[in-house]
Amino acid sequence: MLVRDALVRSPFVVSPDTTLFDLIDRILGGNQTTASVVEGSLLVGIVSATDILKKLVPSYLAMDENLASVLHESFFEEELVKLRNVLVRHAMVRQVDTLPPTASVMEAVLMFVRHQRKTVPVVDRGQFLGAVTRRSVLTLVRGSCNS
Amino acid sequence: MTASIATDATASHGPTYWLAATLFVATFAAIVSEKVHKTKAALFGGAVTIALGVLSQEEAFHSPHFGIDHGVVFLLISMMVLVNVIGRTGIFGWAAIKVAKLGRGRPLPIMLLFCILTAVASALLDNVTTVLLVAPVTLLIADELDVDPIPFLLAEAMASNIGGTATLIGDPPNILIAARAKFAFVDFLVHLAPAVLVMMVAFLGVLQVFFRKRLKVDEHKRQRVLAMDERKMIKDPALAVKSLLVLAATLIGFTLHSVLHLEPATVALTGAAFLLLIARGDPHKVLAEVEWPTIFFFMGLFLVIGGIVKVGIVREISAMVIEATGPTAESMKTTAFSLLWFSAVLSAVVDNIPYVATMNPLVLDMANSVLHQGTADPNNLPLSTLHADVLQPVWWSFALGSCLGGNATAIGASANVVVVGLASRAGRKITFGQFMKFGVPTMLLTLAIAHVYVLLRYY
Repeated sequence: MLVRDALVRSPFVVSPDTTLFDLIDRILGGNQTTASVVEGSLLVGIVSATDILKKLVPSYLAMDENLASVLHESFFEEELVKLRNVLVRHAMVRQVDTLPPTASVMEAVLMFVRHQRKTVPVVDRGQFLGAVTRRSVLTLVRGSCNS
Repeated sequence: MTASIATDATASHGPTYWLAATLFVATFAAIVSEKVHKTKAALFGGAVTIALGVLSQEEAFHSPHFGIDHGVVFLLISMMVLVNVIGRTGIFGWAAIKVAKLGRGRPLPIMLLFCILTAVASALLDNVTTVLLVAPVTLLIADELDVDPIPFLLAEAMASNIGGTATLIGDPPNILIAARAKFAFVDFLVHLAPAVLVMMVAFLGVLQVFFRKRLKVDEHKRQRVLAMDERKMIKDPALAVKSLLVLAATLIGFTLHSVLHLEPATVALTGAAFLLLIARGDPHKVLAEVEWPTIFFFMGLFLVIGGIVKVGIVREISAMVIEATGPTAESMKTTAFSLLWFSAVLSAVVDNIPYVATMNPLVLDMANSVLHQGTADPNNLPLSTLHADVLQPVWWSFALGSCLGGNATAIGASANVVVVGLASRAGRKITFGQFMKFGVPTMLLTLAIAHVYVLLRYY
């Protein structure tokens, strides 16, 4: 079985100029938490709910987690305000592992299992074709069992 | 044994001689250019030094004169282990918040107190770790007070370099100098700590004058800092207490060198091993956080420099310098001050570790020339020569210049590089020029104090 057999041709896609608040709305309104970031037909990154949450964490808290225990009560609300004008391009991960449609599905499964990915974008000769998700692979697994 | 210690005079201009010279120049150029990671450059240079026979395997791994100095290596590793365990307990965050509250939440007193905390911690631990532990709290406090964190971070980097100058373990150049000149922990405290104390007072005074009117915050922001509960920072109170006790015992062990006759590496290794033993959990994480690139950098460097010492290049350079300057017991004053300023300028632009490692044998050769008319073995000089009154100011000037010069530029010291990186992660870029505006005056101020100190104390 190849990646193209599990390909979702209209996956969760956002533009790099989408605001994080709009992205949150789309995540809450759908059933996926990771989106491919596409500009034209080119994949420029990937963004997930975790990337949004990372934007809420100041760098110093990432350096010393203990500091979170001494923050004042309204700290979280103040950080939320800073998120208002942040765009997806400022939160997305630019170095993305992709797969060609001809790759084995096992490669996608390994990326889900070993690297905790939820979506793997599928790219052919630089063009974004869609994505493989855990759900699409499970659908393929179920379908092959039935047949 | 004498044959293996003496430099290889017969091969002085043979292929081995030129090979050693080429390896040294190529390694140094690679380190300075920063095109290749310094650890890769030094390790490769060191490995080739052995593989091509400039140093024999016996010399590389077992000679105290040409090979890897295991005392320095184990001292560095052990101190890193100690600091890693202590850092995990949250004691630094506790101290930093306590200090911020002591400053009543006012930015200027906080800046000054953070500098004192950083300087003291840097004297007892290593500079990079100290800065890594203090910087996150600094960024948090600056965020809470809504002030620019850059002046705080820059001041802490400077304080760390100044504080680190005070002790044998405070800065790698001091560790290297102590290893070659056979100085004990107490020697550094006696000769360098008083100068560092004066420098810190002057540095804090300058900060106060410069920032007095620039750092103002309103009352409710101050209250936020005062409301912080520093006790929450300590995740494992029992380990925090144990770690501090082990650190204190280790520091006492350093000072008792004349009684215990234990080298600093032995004392530090005992402390680190004991702390690992009493700390719960797998040692893997603590050991993985040892700065292995720095350790391997030292190892490679020892080998490359051992190569040029063995084939006689260092002796030839030293002979040229001696012929040009004709150092005598009387003219050593000029040598000391030249070394102070020359070391500072060079340490500002190149890594001070390879600089000191290269200069050490030169100073030893000069000592041999001045005190024994070049008749003794420079690698085996007696303590009476190494610690001769005429040579003491030379060693201390060398240490002061090498440590303090690092303050001038963003790449002059590891702590500076770390601070610039941390600021960048926090979204605040510190440019090279911005650093120098702060760093060069600090370097000049501390060097001027060092100059006067050496003059008054030794001449």
